Amino acid sequence: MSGDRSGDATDAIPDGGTVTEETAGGSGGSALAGLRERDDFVVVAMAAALVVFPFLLIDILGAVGDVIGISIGGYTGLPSLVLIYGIIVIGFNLLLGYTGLLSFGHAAFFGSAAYSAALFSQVVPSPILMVIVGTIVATLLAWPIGFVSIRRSGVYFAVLTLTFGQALYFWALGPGSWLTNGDNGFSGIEAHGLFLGAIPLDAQLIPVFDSYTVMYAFTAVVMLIAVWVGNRIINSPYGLIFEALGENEERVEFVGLNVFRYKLMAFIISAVFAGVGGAMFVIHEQYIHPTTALYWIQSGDFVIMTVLGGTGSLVGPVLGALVFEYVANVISGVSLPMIGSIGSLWRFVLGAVFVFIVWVFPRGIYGAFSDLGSRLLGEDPEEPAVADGGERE
Amino acid sequence: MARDTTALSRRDVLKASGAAGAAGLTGLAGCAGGGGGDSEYPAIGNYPVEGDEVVFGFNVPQSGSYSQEGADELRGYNLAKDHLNNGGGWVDNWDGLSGDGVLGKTVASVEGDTATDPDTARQSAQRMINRDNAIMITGGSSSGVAIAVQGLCQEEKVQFQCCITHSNDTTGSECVRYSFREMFNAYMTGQALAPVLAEEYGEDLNFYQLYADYSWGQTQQASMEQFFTEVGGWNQLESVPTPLGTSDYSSYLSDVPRDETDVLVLNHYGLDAANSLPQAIEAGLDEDMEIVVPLYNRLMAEAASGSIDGIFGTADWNWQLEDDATQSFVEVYREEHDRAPSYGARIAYTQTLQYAAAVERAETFYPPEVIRELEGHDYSGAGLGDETMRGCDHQAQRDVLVMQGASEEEQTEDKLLNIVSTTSRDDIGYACDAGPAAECELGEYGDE
Amino acid sequence: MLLLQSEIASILLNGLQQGAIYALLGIGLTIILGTMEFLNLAHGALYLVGAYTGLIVFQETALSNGLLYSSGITTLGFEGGFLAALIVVPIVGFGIGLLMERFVAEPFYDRPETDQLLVTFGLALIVEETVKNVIGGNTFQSIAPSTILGVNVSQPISLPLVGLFPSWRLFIIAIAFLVIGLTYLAIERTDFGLVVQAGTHDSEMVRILGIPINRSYSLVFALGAALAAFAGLIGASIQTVSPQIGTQQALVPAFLTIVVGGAGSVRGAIAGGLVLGLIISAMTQTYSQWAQIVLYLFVALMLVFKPEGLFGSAEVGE
Repeated sequence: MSGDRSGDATDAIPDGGTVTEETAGGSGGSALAGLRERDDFVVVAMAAALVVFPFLLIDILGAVGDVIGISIGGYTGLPSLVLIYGIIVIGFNLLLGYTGLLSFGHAAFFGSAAYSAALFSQVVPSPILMVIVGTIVATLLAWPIGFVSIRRSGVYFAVLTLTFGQALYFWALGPGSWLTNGDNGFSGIEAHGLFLGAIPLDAQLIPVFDSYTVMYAFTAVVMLIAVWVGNRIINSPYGLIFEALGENEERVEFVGLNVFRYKLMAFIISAVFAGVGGAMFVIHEQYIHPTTALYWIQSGDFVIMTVLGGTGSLVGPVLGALVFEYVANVISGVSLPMIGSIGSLWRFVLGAVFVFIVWVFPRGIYGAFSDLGSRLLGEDPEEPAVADGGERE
Repeated sequence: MARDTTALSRRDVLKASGAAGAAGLTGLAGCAGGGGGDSEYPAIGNYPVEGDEVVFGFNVPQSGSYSQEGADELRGYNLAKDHLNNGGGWVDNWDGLSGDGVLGKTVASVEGDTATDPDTARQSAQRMINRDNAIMITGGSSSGVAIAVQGLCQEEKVQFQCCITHSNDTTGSECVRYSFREMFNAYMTGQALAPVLAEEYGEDLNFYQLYADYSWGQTQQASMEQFFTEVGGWNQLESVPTPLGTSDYSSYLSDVPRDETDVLVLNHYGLDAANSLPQAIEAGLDEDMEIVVPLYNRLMAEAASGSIDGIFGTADWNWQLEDDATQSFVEVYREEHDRAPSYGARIAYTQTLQYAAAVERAETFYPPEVIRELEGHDYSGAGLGDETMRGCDHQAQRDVLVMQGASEEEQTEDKLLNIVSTTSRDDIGYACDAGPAAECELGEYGDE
Repeated sequence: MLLLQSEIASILLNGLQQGAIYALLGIGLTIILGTMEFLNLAHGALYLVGAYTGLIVFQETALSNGLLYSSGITTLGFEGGFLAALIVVPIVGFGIGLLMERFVAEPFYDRPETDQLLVTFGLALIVEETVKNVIGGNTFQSIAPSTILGVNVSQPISLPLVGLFPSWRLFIIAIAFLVIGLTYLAIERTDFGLVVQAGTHDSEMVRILGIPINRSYSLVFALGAALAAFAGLIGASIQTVSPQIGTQQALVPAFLTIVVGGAGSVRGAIAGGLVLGLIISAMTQTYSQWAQIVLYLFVALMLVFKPEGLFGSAEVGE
């Protein structure tokens, strides 16, 4: 892939001028804005966030919950789970947010990686190898699916990707249950720890801070790699072309670039992220079931998280993953004084949050925050990014 | 497997350090803390229980197709919690239960939504175990969920008390040390139903099966085939899988050979049966053959109430039973909720008390000891006469009810089914090296 | 497996019945998509509303949980019978469609299609959860009457070739195709239909020609909603009714139908629905484990090799 990239970089240069200008972000002025223009700022910021994230989610929110008498704190597995979905939606956003392709079939890549990793763990229970194997399988699957799907667009593309995921789902649940254990779910997955099993994944990372496990550290490192890679991609000529594709496909074609090839590449890259996430999910949960792995609702969840967080930025979708998983796993168990258990109402809450965000903050949570931030700094709000800004022609 | 023996789990470390810390602090005050000599055991799972509360996790479907059933389970759980803390119901009659909490600790609870989805259920159980320090998790209304959650509980060394799960696998090939099942299973349904049907419909008949294509449906159809063939000398024509969640069965039903089939077995549960049974009757199959629905539940009986007249099946328990335990449970439940409990509520109630009583007998929350108390425990007063929680597979050995749907004129809000007979536990069940139990390996207590 | 004539006949009938529901859903979705380029994921919720409206109009139903029950209302419904439901359900669907077009769809016409998908998906969640929390999460039995217009429809009748077939289902097939036929004629033969047709081909052109397209928009949306609600009523008369049916039984098939038929084409939605219905019924009667898999792979092959669908113009929905 990297060899490819350098080749394309030269291809893309003649065209660079037409698409690059706005992407560097807001105008300078403050020191913060200056820092924000650095390419690797997002990676550094993410690293900082990852250090405090479990503490905020579990300990601080837990303490707040104790004070107000409502259990709103996270739990030990939740930070890793959020990051795993975060990794997936960063990749998904490269496809949806940048090239504007809406897939309803990414569960196929998530699920195939999850099952491959699970099966592989029966032979070699190494987490790192499980991730590699899962990702390879997802990538190999993404190539033919992408090859036939991206010739279509709009609702045709969405439904076409959906059909592959659904066919796999029904296969895993029925005829394929000799391999997947069907509805009983695939259990007995043992990832034996990092460094040849020397460090068990559920061991505590730092004494006293029980919110930090080795699994979390592992996930956080993968997340950082994902952000770094994602950042490199969107700041490379590739990323600019992806963005241009979302904006106006014909223009890209007109300057002589192979639209099909770039779209396919975006599709495969997003599937790689989904594959990494799927394998990580299995390592984390030690269990996988066809409904979670492959059903279209899972693909739909990726879409929801991505748009909820905001498609216009690299890490926005991670916020969407956070909100989604927090509502689904914590708010759903909250008991309020007077009203009682939220249990049966949480999906209603999710729907309402959803309509509200889409209606009021079309650029998602991240967009809302960054507008607010810019306003506080006295800058003009950034121009809406390409794919979510209503620039359809 | 590896981690059970080699690595100390994270929470073990945490608990040990927490307990040590607590002991250090309270040591100054001259008291080691913890109720009833708990400190004699090492930390495991969420043991020891700190503070004066003990947390149970009620993990039931609150969204999705089985939310109604989950709501009734939750009513049973909350009733159990209330009685454990304040007395009432069976707590007054069971040995060891005081009505003053469990081992002097007040019972608190956390709730979760399984959405009848195994991964969601595991996520929710994980939260209860890690954040809320639940010492026991209970719930579920599908075998897929029960199997997924009990697997997690075995890893985490936290007790799981199954609610509605009827698949042979739960206490068969997928059984675990940390889980116990009060409900009966598909195998026992076959044993209870076959003699009644042979008596009712005659011998040497041809039967045709449709089964939901997942864990429960597969074991159910295998058990029906085995016992119909053995007991009544019946002959199976064909057994056809239908995908879980099918809503229109007309194509499958069109395929049933009307001339040859004497008995049609619909191995569908809940919502699946609520569609397949009425559609079979709409197609007029009941005129050419007898129809059997092996497992009844309220959800299904309500949603197919117009079609269940005379249809045989089995049930875990029914509020119309006349023993004292049943009557007292129905009474306290009615006071609170204005109608009769479904059997999901009974299992929920029983399983919670059962756990609490085992803790009282063990005089500790230390899971391995609690499990040993439950294994081989003989009890009664749970509405089904004498029962034994068998040690070799954690399957309750108990009576099974054979039911028949009531006619529409007979039906009331609560009464949808009639009890035909109670098959004694002596006539059903299987040895520890036979049937589903032959495939069961429970795994470790965690203190080996 | 060698298929007997009777099996082929029953596959055809079951396929027609399933296909009719798919077609009704598909027509509604396709005219909304074609005319307004609006992707409506709440289409399943309209099916749900139709089913519950049918339930309420058809009979008095006992409730056992939900907001109404806990506030003292233990039964709900009018004992109106099926004919009343046949009239009321589409009217309610039409009304809801008008409201939805005005308050949900219109603000999103100029927004990207992902926003449309998301807002309607959120709306679908809200509708589903509202129904569940107000009327209750129960599963209600299907609402087939025992007689209609004095004819007994509760007994199966004997048909040549097929053998016994539920007479209610024959009635359902007939009424569904009557509605499908009328809709087809309305769109092919009336001025309103012309606008719809033109709109699906080129909405800008229609606007340029000075046709008051906004009013037509509301009507098209309302018609689509009425058809989805009607499909819900048909579904409720043969299957149980619960809050999940919209998402589980209607949404995905509706989208499969329109892409097979060709987005924007009414003729395509009818053909697409029938083809999918026949595939499902043929597969379930022969190799049932593979039925869903074959269905999805068929749609995939259609999209790969015949992307314009059976009757569509490839531009709509892209």
